[in-house]
Amino acid sequence: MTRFTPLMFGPASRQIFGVFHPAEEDRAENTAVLLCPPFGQEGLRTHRFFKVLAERLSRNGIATLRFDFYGSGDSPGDENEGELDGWRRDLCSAHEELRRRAPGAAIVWVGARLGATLAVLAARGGRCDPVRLVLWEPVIDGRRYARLLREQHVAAIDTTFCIPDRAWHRSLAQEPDAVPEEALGTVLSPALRAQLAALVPESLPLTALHDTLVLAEPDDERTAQWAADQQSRHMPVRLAYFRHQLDWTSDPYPNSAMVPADALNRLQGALHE
Amino acid sequence: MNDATQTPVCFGPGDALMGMLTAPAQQAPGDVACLMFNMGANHRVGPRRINVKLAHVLAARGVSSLRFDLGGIGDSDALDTSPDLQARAVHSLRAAMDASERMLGARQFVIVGMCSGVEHAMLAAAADPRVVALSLFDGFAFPERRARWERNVRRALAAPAHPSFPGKAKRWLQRHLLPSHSTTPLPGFFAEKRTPEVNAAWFGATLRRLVERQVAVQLLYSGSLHVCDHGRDQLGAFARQPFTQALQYEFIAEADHTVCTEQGQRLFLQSVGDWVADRCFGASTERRSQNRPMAAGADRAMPATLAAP
Repeated sequence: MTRFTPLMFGPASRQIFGVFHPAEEDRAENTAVLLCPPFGQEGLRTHRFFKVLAERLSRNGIATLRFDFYGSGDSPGDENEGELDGWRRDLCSAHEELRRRAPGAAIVWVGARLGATLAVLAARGGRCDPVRLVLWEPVIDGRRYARLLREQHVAAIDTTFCIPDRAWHRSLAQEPDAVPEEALGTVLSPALRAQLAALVPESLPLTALHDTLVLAEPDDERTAQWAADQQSRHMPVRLAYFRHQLDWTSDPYPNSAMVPADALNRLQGALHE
Repeated sequence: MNDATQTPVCFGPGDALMGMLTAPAQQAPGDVACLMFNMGANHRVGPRRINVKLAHVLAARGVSSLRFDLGGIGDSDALDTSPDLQARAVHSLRAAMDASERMLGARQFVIVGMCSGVEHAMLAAAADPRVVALSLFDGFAFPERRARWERNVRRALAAPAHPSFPGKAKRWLQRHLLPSHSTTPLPGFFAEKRTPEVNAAWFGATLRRLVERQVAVQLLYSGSLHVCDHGRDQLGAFARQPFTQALQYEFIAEADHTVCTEQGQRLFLQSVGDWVADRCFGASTERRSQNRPMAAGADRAMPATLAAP
């Protein structure tokens, strides 16, 4: 059994929930990890995965903090208050909390999906000093991401209702590029919708202040191109292809891959390579 | 969300269980608190974060709550208190009541159970007199021939022109004709271990005991089970039993089993929030029914074997 500490942290007006997994003392390394979760259903779907990853890292001497952005997961706040600027500040609050609990450790940010995007945005702010970013399938094109969420939302409606309302299909067909007001049970605030609509690869330049490892699916040409663009700017970034069984948006159901071992191993290895 | 304070807690044997207490910020906790826990493999926040949203709704109305993970799910470590899954779930729920007594001063509890959580909630209520009310969503359903026939006819009429039905047909074929690793539940895990007749007998007997003990019960059913309801359809023959007449039954056609839409969530939160708050403050179900208008276009009736689609 791995022990951990659930906690609330951040400014009094914007408390967020986190779980700190201390490094096992006899194996303590000089590295700590901050796990940045995906958005909405993707975040709920991967809760167990990141819990198990945090336990593994902790057993291997790496102090780890996982947390929920304000208005998401177990954190206070309503979904209609969620937007990228606030979440970027949440990420820096989490970094400071981890720094306080693991003083002197070099902090690595491991972000998945929109959590990876937020890691890029937060690292650019210069308020906090991660030594490395591990970006697992970052969202680099907000409109494409919104389209994916809409399609998955319609697919979920199709699956779950006895006779689904056809209006969802019609809306998707009529306005395929609209950023939705809700997706898979999560409300997208007007601010977040505007931010996603404006999110393009060019708005995510990496900095030279940290190393970056990008994990992308082999057929994800856009992410590969984005990484190549960053390399051409002489940023210390490396792209690695990685295919896995995790379905980011599905409900947890029997025998679906909630904690695929290959993904755990890949992320653990990504800390040092 | 400044109407409430949120406090993460570890409790139970060896502090193995983890949860989040939500209490109204401006008033002392009442005698009755609400417990929420997992639906299937979803962690304590519930499907689509519905438990967090319900906790916020309840706190705004003065009700404290504890949402938590059963042993072995979410952030909680597995309990070794029994080899039986259901018994361990009851142990987790009783530990949650003990913790809420200690930390909130609550002495009685309303449990909200969804899908697989319905059986756990009923078992815990039967085992522990501190449970005074149960809100049960898409749990056991026993639609009779007429309700099943109507559902099948409606689906058959809708199928030819509906874009969702090719996918539904494919999934049905995969489940029934092509059993594979991905479509066959593990024995004893989310699998029906009992026959429908045994399930019905257990449900009826347990519910009757709870009603006789004056445990208030709300039964909610979703649009994943049917498109309409003509009078407690999902209760089947139980709908004609005298002991079920005091139960509150509601069919929410616009909500689905995982509350995937904003509209479905709003209706769920309104129905459960009102009912739980009334149970906590002693208002009658009758008053609540008079005050709350029906959602436009909704057929309110009752939709029952674990009802997950």
